[in-house]
Amino acid sequence: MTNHVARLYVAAASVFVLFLAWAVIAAHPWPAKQSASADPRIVALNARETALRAETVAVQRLLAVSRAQRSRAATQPVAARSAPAAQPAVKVVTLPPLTITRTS
Amino acid sequence: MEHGVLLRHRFRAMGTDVELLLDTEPGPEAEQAFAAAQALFEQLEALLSRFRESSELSALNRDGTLDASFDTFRVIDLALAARERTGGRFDPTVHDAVAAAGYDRSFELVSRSGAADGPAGARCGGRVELDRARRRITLAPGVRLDLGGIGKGYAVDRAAELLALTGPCLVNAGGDIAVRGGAWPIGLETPGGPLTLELASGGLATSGRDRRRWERDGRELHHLIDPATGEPSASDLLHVTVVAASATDAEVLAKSLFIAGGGRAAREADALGVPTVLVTVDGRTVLAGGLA
Repeated sequence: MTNHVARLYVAAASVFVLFLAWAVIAAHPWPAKQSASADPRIVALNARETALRAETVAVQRLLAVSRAQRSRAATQPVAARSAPAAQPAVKVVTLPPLTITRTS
Repeated sequence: MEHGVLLRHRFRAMGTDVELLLDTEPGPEAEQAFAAAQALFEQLEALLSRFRESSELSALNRDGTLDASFDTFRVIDLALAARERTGGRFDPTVHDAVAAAGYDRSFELVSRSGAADGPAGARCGGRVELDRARRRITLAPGVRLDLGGIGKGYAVDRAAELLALTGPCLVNAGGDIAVRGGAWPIGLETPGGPLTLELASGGLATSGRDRRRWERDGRELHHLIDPATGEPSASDLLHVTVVAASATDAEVLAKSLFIAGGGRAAREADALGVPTVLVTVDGRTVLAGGLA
């Protein structure tokens, strides 16, 4: 191989390495150092925002499930839809009544 | 339940006295809740009354078909489900039979005695079709509906749901009662003296022959039609009080057990586990369904 061909290869490789390094540095995948002067309230707010975003997603999912269930239930006949309801709590007492029941 | 401030609101609706009890502090919130509940009763009466020409029920009975509002469709749906559940003892297609017996107008306008207007014993058990997608109700020819046996219970349940947003409450419309939150002592008369039931959830209703009754041709009639005969039930019961998961269910069961008659009603109440007070025409009081 002649010298000028080798020099060309070296130059091309150098340019490639330069761009690669540039890309890596531009992406800076390493975690940013916490600034010693970061406001703790800002930090807390950011954390709260992240948590709220996560909760919103969860709530939206629950609402979607609930809406789908109600939508299915509304298309069913009442007799099929009603599960046996829990028996009400009632007992005979000696208290004075607050109201009365009678034949209407 | 210890009641703090108990607020009461009374008015007339659906041909009866309505009483609202709300366990909360007096103020604009309570007043708004009472006003909303009263408006709800008026709205439902305007839809469901067979005595109002402008009601959806009257339109359905006149035309044989109706694209109904949510509440009208729901009540008729519940009534038809109740007909299935009670083996036909509760039946919303008793309209013509009730009218033939003499109850063809609001009860305060019914004459208490006189001659019969025509033959009794109109057929019941007619076919009603429901199109859920369009909320369309279609009656078979000659079929007309009376929602008097379920409309009040439905209104009471809806009003209780509304009031419960403000606090523990009780809604009483002519003896059909729903409660939400707390425990509520409710009185009823029996031949042995007053009895008090404390209700912590659900509903309660009383059906009987001792109030809405009249005479025709010397014969005592009342408003509880036995669909099997098309005539006022010959039950040996004076009145029946039932406790159920809702006032709607209680109202339906009270009528069904009344028509079943004393012995059978007690056995059914026991089998279903439905707390029931049966008062017979000969003056006996029977507690059934686990209530004793």
